Amino acid sequence: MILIISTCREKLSESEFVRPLEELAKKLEKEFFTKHYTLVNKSDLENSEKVIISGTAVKDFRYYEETAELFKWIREFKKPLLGICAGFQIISEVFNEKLTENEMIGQFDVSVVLQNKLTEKNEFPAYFVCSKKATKRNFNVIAFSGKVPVIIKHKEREIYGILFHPEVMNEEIVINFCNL
Amino acid sequence: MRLGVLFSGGKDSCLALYKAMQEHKAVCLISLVSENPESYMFHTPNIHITKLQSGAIGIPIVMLKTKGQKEEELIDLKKAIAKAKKEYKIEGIVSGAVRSVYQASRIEKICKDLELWCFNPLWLINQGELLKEVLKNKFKTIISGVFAYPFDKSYLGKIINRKMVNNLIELSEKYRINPAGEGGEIETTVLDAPFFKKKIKVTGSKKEYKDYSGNFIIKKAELVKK
Repeated sequence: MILIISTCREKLSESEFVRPLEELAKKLEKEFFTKHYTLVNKSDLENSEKVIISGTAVKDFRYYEETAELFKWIREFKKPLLGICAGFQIISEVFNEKLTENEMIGQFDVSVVLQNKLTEKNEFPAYFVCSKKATKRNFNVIAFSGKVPVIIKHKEREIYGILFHPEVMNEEIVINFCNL
Repeated sequence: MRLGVLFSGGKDSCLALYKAMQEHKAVCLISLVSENPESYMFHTPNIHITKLQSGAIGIPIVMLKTKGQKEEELIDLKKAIAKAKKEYKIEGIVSGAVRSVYQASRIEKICKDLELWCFNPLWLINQGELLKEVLKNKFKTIISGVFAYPFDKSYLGKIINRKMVNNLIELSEKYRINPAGEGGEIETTVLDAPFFKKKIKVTGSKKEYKDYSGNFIIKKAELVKK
């Protein structure tokens, strides 16, 4: 069972950032359930084999204000976890990485620098809609776009952060995560 | 939230508007009238009907002309959105973008610059599902332009009903085109929908067609009671 966590303040954003992930899970015939981050409880996390944290609108930062309280479970989470865009920021924040302003909107080239289980190509274009980047003290960098780390992995656990939206031009990354 | 909806008058922008209306207040429509039929960003056939659609829906429209040159039309779009922000105090924009990274990223950038929310409720929606949703919600939509093989002249002006949806899905499988026209294969115009207070009656039209490319041009139309 995959748990898809919505980070969207507005329901209207969910059709843009959550529905495509649900449709991918359906296409893969994976069992999944979706919950808003404010409603995730202990049994949801126990009942899921892996978790995907969605992105949200550029203007939406409510999730970020509530990260310290509502995402602290990530610190102890031992199963595979994928954070997309807002999810990347949440994971970074939970592990005390420093977030700084970095607007990337549109298509940018990505270069993979570390062998990993998610990507299939060494170079590929990807779709970004983000406004922040993070340091990488507790993470290995799997891929960069220019000098910006855009795919990171926790040094010990299967916790991944992706700054771009893999569901748009790089579905195989989400598929490979679902098949981990 | 008070929202402005990028509006071409086709099924995608109408469906995006309909979805936005379920959650928020759509306070204005925004249309760019492109003088370039090959516009990168903006749907062109029958764009003049958007004013009539605005009257039918009962939501005012901000219309701005653009020459439709690649980057220049983005400056014009930003001007139109800024005008909507000033006049209608919008807090966000809704677009009917489905898969175009070019279109979506440019709208996102404009929204970021103007400090507006950006919503793309049809983003990555399956094309067949999109057509089915148009039917399910009882939109009266006609094909107002065809721009790809195998569409012949007979498609122009045809209503998108269940039979047509099945036909478009079949053609998409056979000819590897997008059934809902996301790649620009077809353009559509919505004449009625549940949120229209009046419907549009076409009283004069003309078909222009050559080599799998053509428009159903609405020359005369009026609002009638539903």
